[in-house]
Formats: sequence, C-alpha cells, structure tokens
Amino acid sequence: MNNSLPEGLAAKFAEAKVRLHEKERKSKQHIERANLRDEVQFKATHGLLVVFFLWIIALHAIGLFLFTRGFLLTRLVLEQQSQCEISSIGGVVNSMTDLTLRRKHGCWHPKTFDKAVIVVIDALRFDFTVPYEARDNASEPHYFHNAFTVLSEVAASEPNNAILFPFIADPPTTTLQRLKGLTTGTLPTFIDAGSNFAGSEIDEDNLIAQLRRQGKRIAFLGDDTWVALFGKHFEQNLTHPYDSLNVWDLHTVDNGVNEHIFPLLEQKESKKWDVLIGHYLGVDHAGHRYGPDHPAMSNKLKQMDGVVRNLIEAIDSKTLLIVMGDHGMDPKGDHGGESQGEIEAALWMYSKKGIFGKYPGRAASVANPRPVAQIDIVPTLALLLGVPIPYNNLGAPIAEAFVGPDSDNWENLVQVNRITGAQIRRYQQAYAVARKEEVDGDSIASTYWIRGESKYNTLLAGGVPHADAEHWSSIFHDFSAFQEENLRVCRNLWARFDLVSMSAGCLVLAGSIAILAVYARGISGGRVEITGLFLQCIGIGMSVGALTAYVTGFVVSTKLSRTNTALLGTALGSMAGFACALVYIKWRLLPLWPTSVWGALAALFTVSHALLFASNSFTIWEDIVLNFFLATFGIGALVHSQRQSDLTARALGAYHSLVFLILVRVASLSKLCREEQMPYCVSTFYASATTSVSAPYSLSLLLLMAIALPSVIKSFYKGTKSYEGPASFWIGFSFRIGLVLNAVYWIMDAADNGEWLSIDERLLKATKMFVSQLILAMGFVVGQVGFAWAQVCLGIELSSKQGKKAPLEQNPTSKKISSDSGGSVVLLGYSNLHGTRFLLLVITWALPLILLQKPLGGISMGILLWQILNVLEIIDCNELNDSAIGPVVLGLLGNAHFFSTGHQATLPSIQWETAFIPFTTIVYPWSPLLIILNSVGPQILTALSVPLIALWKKQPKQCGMLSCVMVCIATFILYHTVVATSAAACAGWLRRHLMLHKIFSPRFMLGGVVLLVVDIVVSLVSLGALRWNFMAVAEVFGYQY
Amino acid sequence: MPHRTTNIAGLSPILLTHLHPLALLTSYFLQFPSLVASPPSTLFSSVFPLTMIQVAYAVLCLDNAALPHGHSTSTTEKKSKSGSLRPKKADSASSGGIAGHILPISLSLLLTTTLFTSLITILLFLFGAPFTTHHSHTILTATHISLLIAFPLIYVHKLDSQKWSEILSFTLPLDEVFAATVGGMIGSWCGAVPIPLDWDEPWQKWPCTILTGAYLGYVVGKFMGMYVVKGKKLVF
Repeated sequence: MNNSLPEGLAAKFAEAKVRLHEKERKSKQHIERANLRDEVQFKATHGLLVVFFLWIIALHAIGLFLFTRGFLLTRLVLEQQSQCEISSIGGVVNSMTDLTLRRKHGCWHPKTFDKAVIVVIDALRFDFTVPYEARDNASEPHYFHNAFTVLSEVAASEPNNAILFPFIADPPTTTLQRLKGLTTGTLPTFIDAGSNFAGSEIDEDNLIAQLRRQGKRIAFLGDDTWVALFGKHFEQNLTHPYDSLNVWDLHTVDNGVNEHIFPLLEQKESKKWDVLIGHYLGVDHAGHRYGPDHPAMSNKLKQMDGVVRNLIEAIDSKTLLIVMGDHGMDPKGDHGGESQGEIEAALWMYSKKGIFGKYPGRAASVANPRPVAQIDIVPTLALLLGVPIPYNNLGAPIAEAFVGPDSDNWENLVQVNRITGAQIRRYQQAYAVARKEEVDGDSIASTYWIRGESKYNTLLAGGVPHADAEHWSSIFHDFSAFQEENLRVCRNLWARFDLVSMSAGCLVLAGSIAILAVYARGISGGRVEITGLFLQCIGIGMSVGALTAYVTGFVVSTKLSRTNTALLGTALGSMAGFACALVYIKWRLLPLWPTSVWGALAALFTVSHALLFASNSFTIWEDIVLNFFLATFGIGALVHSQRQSDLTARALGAYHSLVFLILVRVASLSKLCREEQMPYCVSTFYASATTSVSAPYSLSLLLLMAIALPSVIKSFYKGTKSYEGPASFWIGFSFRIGLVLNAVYWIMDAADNGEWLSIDERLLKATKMFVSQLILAMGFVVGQVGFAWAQVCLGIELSSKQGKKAPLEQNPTSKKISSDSGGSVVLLGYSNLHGTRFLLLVITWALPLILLQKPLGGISMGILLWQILNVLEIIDCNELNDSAIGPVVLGLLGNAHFFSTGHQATLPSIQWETAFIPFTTIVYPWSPLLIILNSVGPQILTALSVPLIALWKKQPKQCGMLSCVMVCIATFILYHTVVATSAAACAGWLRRHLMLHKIFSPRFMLGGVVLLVVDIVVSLVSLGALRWNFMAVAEVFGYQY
Repeated sequence: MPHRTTNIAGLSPILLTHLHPLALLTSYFLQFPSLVASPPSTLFSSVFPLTMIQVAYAVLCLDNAALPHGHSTSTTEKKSKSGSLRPKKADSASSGGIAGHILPISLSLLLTTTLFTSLITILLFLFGAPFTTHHSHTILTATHISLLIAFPLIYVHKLDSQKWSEILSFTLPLDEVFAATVGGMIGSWCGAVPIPLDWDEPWQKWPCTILTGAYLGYVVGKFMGMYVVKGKKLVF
C-alpha cells in the first residue's frame, strides 16, 4: 500500500501530464481551427464585396453600351452593286455581245483611259505640295516647304496635262476611314473610327470591286490596310503589302513600293495589270515620329518628289497618273481629327493626253485652287476608266477632267453629271426602302434634279434650236446642285441619333450614380455585413428584370432591339432590387447632402467638374479648371491643418499641403495644348510645337527622378518607422533600379531618334526593347507575385533595459510588448501596417506606367505618386479618412495628370507610339492594352491608391477597416461615374452642336474609357490586392477587418 | 468700454463704414474701362487712390474703440495676457490724433505691400496665373487684393500672433473686417470662372475678372460681416 501512494501519484501525474498535453494540443488545434475559420470567413466576405463591385461594373458597361449604341452614328450598309449592263440613266443591255462591247468602250459612259496608276502618299498635306509664300518677311519656310515641288511645277507648266487640287477629307481622318471613303464614295460614320487597328473587309460596292468585275487586273504595293479591305480583288502575284502600323519605321514601306513599282511600269511588265495602286507611308510616319517641321520630313518629301518625277517619265499616254494624300496632319504630325491641316490633303491628276480643262465659270488659278471632296474621286475614276459608278457613291465627277482641254465640252460634262446624279437617286430610293421610309419627292434636291432633267430632255428633243453654252451650263449647275444638296442632306441624315437607346443608357448611368451615392455616403455603420443582403436582393431583382424585359421584347415591339431591351431590363431590375434592400435597413439611411465643409467641397468639385461638359469652352480648358480645384483643396488643407491642436499634426499638415500645392503647379507646367486652346496656350510637352520629339532636358529629369523619387517615398515610410521588411528592397533597390532602367530606355530612344550614336541601329533597337520588356516584367509579373507573397513592413527591436521604456512609449508609431522578465519587443512600423504594405502595390504599378509615358509624362507620373502620398498625409493629419474629399481629390489628381502627361480629350492626341515601346510590331491584345495604359495611366495609378485613404496610418487591430475601404472605393467610383455620365449626357444633349465631334464626342469617349478602366482597376486590382494585404497582416496579428 | 460714436474727423464711423464700399466700387467701376484697355498701367495708377480709401477707412472706422463689437473687450483681455506692446500703442493712437496714426498706418502699409503682396502673388500663381508672361499684371493684382483684404486686417490686429494664427486657420470670429477679407478671397476665387468662356469679351482678359470678383466679394463680405454672420465662426 505504501508504494501504492507514490504509484498512484505517479499515475495521476502521468495522467495529468497527458491531459495537459492533450489540452495544449487541443487548444493549439482550436487556435488553428479558429484561424482557418477566420481566414475562410474573410475570404468569403471579401469575395462578396468584389461581386458587388462587379455588379457596378456591369451597370456601367450596360449604360455606356446603350448610350454608345444610340450616340455614335450608324449608317445602313446596302448590299446592292452597280452593274455594267444596267446604266443609271436607263438603257439595259440584253445581249452578251453588247455587254462585251460596252465593257470594252466603257460601261455607262465612254472611257478616257485604259489604265491608271494611283499613288497614295499617306498624310500628304496640301501645303507640302505648293510653293512656299512668306506671309511676312520674318517667317522662314519650314522643313516641309519647297521639298515636294513637282506637282505644282507640272500643273503650272502643263495645265492641260496636270491639275492639282486641295483634296478635302471627311473626318475622322484615319487611313482606314479614308480608304473606305476614297473607294466607296460614302460618308464615314463615327463608329468606325476606333477600328483602324483591325481593318475588316468592305462589304459595300466600291471602286476596286467594280474594276475587278469589269475585268481590270489590279496590282497593289504598300500599306497592308488595303489588303485587309480589298485583298481578294488584287492580282496575287502582283501584290506586295507591308506592315502599316510601325510608325517608327520611315523607310521599309516606301523602299518596298519603289522596289516593285518601277519594274511594273516597264514595257513588258505593264501588260500584266490595268490598275496599279501604290501606297507610300513614309511621310505619315515621319509626321508621327518627328512632326512635319523636321529634316526627316524634308528628306522624305524630296524622295517622294523623285518618285513622282520618275513616274511621269515611265507612263504612256493611255495611262492616267493620280497622286493623292488620304488626309493631312496637324502641326505635330498626327491626324484623326477635323482641323484644317488634317482634312486638307492634295490631289494631283496627270496624263499625257491633255484632257484637263477649267471649271465652268471659274478662272483657273494656281494661287487659289478649287477644293475637291475626296469622295469625288470615285465617280471621276469610274467614268474615266469606264466602269460603273459604285452603287452608294455620293460624290460628283470632277468637272475639270470631263470638260475638255478647251473647257467647252458641255455635252460630256452634263452627261457625266447626269449619270452620277441618276445613280445617287437610285441609291437614295434603295436606302429609303431599306429603312422602310417614304421617298421624299418634294425635297430641294429633287427639285433641282427634276428641273435639270426637264431642261435636258427639252434639249435632246430639239426644243432648243441653238443650244448655247449658257443653256448647257444651267443644266450642269442643276445637276451639280442636286448632288451638293443631296450630300448635305445625307450628312444630316447620318447624324441621326437613336434617342431611345441614348436615354436608356443615361438612365442606367444615372441609376448607378444614385446607388453609389447611397452606398458610399448614405448608410451609417459598416458596409461589410450588409453586402450579402444587397447581393441577394440585387440577384432577385436582376432575374425578375431580365425575364420581364425578355418576355416584353417578344410581346411588345419596342424601339430597342431585343437584346438591348433585355440588357436594360437586367440593369433596371437589379437597381430596383438594391432599392428594395434599402428598405430592410432604412433606419440606417442618412441624408445625402454634405454635412461638413469638406463634404461640401467634394460635392462642389464633383458637380462642377461634371457641369464643365455643358460648355465647349470649359471642356476645352478642363486642364486648368482641374488644377484650380486641386489648388483649392491644397489651400483648404493648409487652413484646416492650422486648426489641429496637435502641433506635429499642424506642422505636418502645413508641410504636405504646401508641397502638394507646389507640385500641382509644377505638374501643370507640362502640357500639350489642343487646337482650340490656341493662341492662349503654349505646349511644353514636346521639344517644340511642330514635333513629337521630347526635349533633351526631360531625359536628365528622368535620371533625377530615379535618384530622388525612391528617397521621397522612403521618407513617408520613415515617419512611422515602417522602412522595414520588404520596404527597403522594394523601394530603395528594385524601384530605383527600375527607374534607372526607365531613364536608360528613354535615353536610348532619344539616341535612336536623333541618331546620336554611331552604333548599329539594330543593336540599339534590340537593347531598347529588352530594357523596356524587362521593366514591364518587373512591374507586371515579378512585382505582382512579390506583392502577393510579401510580408508586412514590420521591424522588431528587442530591448531588455527598462530605461528605454520612456522614449518608446512617447512614440506612437511603434507598439511595445513587454514580457514578465522585463525584456520587451518593439514592433517598428506597427501604426501604418496596412498602408505601407499596400503602397508597395502602387509603387509596383507606377514603374511600368512611368515607362509607358513619354519622358515628361513619366516625370508627371512621378510627381503624381508624390502628390498621392501628400494627400494621404493630409487626410491623416486632418482626420478626414471618412470624408468624401480624399477619394474625390484622388480622382481629380488622376484626371489632371491625364493632361500633364501630354494627353487631351481629342483623337489625335492618343499616343499610338506607346504600342512600340516593348514590341517592334503590333501584337494583339497587348498593343491596344499598352495604349490604354498610356492614355489613362494617371487615373489607373490613383485608382490603385484609393484604399490607402482608409488604410494609411491606421492600426491593424482597428474594426471596420474593410468597410472604410469600401466607402472610399465607392466614393471614388461615384466621382468618375458622375463625370462620365455628365460627359455622355452633355454630348447627347448637344448632339446638334457644331463642335460635337471635335469636343463633346471625344470627351464622352474619354469619360467612358476612364470609367470602365477605373472600375476594373479599383474593383479587381485594388480590392483584390486587399485580400493579400489582410492575409499578410493576419499572419502576424490575426484577422480583424 | 464706452461706445464712442465719433472719431478724429468728428464723423460717425457707422455712416463712414457704409460709405466705404460705395467709394471702393465707384472708383473701381469708373476706372474699369481703362483697366480692360490696359491692365498694368491702370492697376499701377489706381494703387494710390485705393490706398487712400483704405487708409481713410482704417483711420476713420477701424480704431479699436470704433469697432462696434461686443468682443472687443475679450480681445483686450487676451492682449493683456499675451503682453504684446502694439495693441497698447494702438489704443494710445486712437486718442492721439492724426499723428498717432501715422506709425501704425505706415507699418501696416509696409506689411501689405511687401509680405502680403508676395503671398497673394504666390497664391495667384498656385491657382494658375500665367507663369512666364503677364508678371506685372499678376503682381499689381496681388497688390490690389492685399490692399483690399489684408490691409484693414493688419491695421486692426497688428502683429498679434494669437490673432494671426486664428486668422490663418479661419477660426477668428467673423466681424466686418474679417468677413470682408473672406468675402474678397471667395470673390476672387469665383472671379476665375468666366475666364475660359469663349465670349471674346475684352474684360475676360487677365486679371479683370479676378479683381472684379475681389471687389464685389469684399463688399458683400463686409455687409455680411456687419449684419448676417457677425460673431460667428467658420466651421469645417
């Protein structure tokens, strides 16, 4: 028994030990299980929030789609084709022999030429081809003057053989649009403007198809856009296309065309083709790369001069030679818009037959030439070469080519105008039938036609005994008046908007504004726990709405198509669902009007920015208005920080406000003026107003930025002792190396442009590409992966001395954990745990975004990064994390830097060259993506920083942090939605405004693109990255959100 | 402190303080056509009349005792607490006739034309004034605005650092002088609005609209300070 006690004790002890172990194990398991549960719960919550914002994206996409559908002009494409045997003025051919005979002599009208050589010189502006006349003694000729002289020389010395016109393009002045106009004779509609990247085959009747159908063999050399459009009509062995979009390359296309064009003109080869088309791109590329006022342009034009001289030598008298530009270029060498320089190309026709005369009733003059519309080339060429006029042509035959060398062949002139007019009438009738509309018989155009016809018939019937020039002339004028009037009517007709679709789009966008406003500013308490309720109601509403709309689409015929009705129903239904969800939480709803000066200021900025688009002047000067707003914010912040009782906060607030103010003004110094801002604006973005080459000083600024910017960012980490963990490697090493590489890239690019170095160009190009690809890989691949795995920026300092306690406790930036033994652990950077880690993501993105801007644009992006940090500090000092001002100012900053990175809300200011930073050719889908990253880079960078407003300098153990982030994100999207909706609504409202396509349409398109990009970046990248941020923080401190 | 109804000129300050905006606006709009025609020379030549109006206003209406406000006692309390010498000087000046005014007036003018003109010039630049051209326009505009909005403020509050930190944070209770300053600032801010419009009006040129906004805002602010928002504080 004696032993039993200790034995029993031992057993008990062992039992207790086992139990303790068990308990420990259990509690460990318990903790692990709890952690796992927390993690799953967090991921689910986070996932629901992402879904909510995906719904917002869907609403915006539907709204913009519906609006765009109704707003961007569309035109019915008729499938009919003109036929040789059915002339427009009657006279159907029945027998095959007649048809053959007709084809031989000319289908609807006797032909003048057997063959034609058509040379398109891309972007050949009219003033490149005429001799320079100094407006005053001071002005010197530019590089583009007096280099391409052959056209005006020959036109002046042999007026019957050659004639030179200003050749007016219908905007948009992009090559694809122009080629469509030049071959079909129709007016472009706005919707095609964006498809220049992927030319698709032309379905409409066109000159090339007509030539082919009448048995002409067509040889083609040059710009491969033609092959995409007309490939099947060209002789396969006589076709030599070249890549058209590599604007860096000035010579490959031109040399290729030259290599083939002259052999083809030789006696033996020239029997293989009837029409030879050559498209030179060098002038256009020189314009894009250097601008017109550059020695490279002069050389290029001189080369073209030589080409045309050789062509004149090479052709025979049966061949018509045409040299033309498809569009011009603006003072910087870009095109796409509708300024005088962009629409005024040159047209030169030459033949050794001597057929050209003078326009009736107009003195021939070289100094004041008659402008000719580009679509006029279609009937002119068709009639001269004896093929039917394409079915949908709206142009007029160029009178000078039909009136005869003595300008007296009235009958011929009237006849060609009558044939053309009759075809236009036939097309109009077919178009009216296709649209199921009445043919308008009483229009002014019809009156002209009927009058001309009756005069003509009287004349033919012998009703006028001595038909003199005056009589013929009046018939000619009736017919050409018919064509002009008809063209005018068509221009208006095709500016027809689908108001129902536009209103539907605006309705959806306005609804999304209401939803975002309520979600962001109108609910008290957290957003996290109500997301499930929202999504449930939205889901129900969406299904009901979609179903109802789908059924309605079958039952009632609405003006919208069935798909669009279903889309509208889905959007409206889901919005109604959201509204229903609000009923459940109605006691949490708050009034929407701002309650503080900051809220009022945020509302003022947003609403005023939106109202800008109601006026063309404010839209033009949007850049200075945005800087004005930002300066107002800076002053407000300066004043408000003086109200802080804490001296440190006061000083910090004042310092960051002042830096912010100065940076706003410095960034605003970099600008690229739009045409309408002249003469009150001086462009500084490029080296000069007539070039698109960056100034050399901007390269040294890039180097300076590589040294300074990482240190600036570091100083923001140092304030909270957060320059720990991954921060120093990330910012001090990787980011700096990246910025140095960026500077190296742009220096190599400048060296390549200016031919500074005497090393092999190919080697330089290859190195350049490698560097740029390296930077992109650093930012988009390594950086992203690194961010997902990165730890928090937290340092640990061990201290055993009690004496150190006092100074550390005063420092609120660190957290101290003391143990019983008297030693303690100090956590450095604890107070800004979330913010500093999340900022790494912004920095990661900033690097490639800086690379994708021009040098000065890169500087502007660097300044933007600094300003974002200033804003974060200002927000923190003034405790404005909950206010709407933070996200709104970020939105304003993004939009302001859009302008300081050398962009404007115009089509020509798109920096297409960006696509060639990492690649030598166009690569889908990357090239369009790169251009988007370049165009809206500043907005992307600010969108990435939005969560920081809620996270910056917030303790990780704080409740409701995720909800705060949601509020910030929703407010930020709200700002952009208001701006985009207003741009759309104003463009729709002012659809008859003279400046619609110059000012309002591009601003609407910019607004739409920015909204969608910002939506996607905020909801997927920023919100998505939060998941890793919270998980990394949770690794140390557990889940708390 | 007893309410004094007359000043050194023997006129009612209440009447004069109402005449002051009238004088400002009249002089401004009389010279407006020539301002539009040639801004720098007109601005330069009108600095002196504006100074005269403002000095007269300060001397006749803005002596501490003449400020018909209840909180003047509290300011004196604070002054005695902060131990600043200048307010006492001003007190003595108010009873010392014209000669006693000369020093504070000239000191205030000196501060207005140097420090505050530079500050407002910088502000104008920050808000987007032309950076490389029109420098004389901008500096003269800043001179005008600071004579308008800063001079009375300096004259009243001297170099009382407490007051100036309240002014800088806009926590000073609004009175006739401070409300006019705030009004002038808001007015100049609003004055920038019509500049970009494409009306092709000659008066849209820099800095006519800003200055008009400043004058109008100043006058409106002054009346607001006298009757509507007197004694209230701006809240953020």
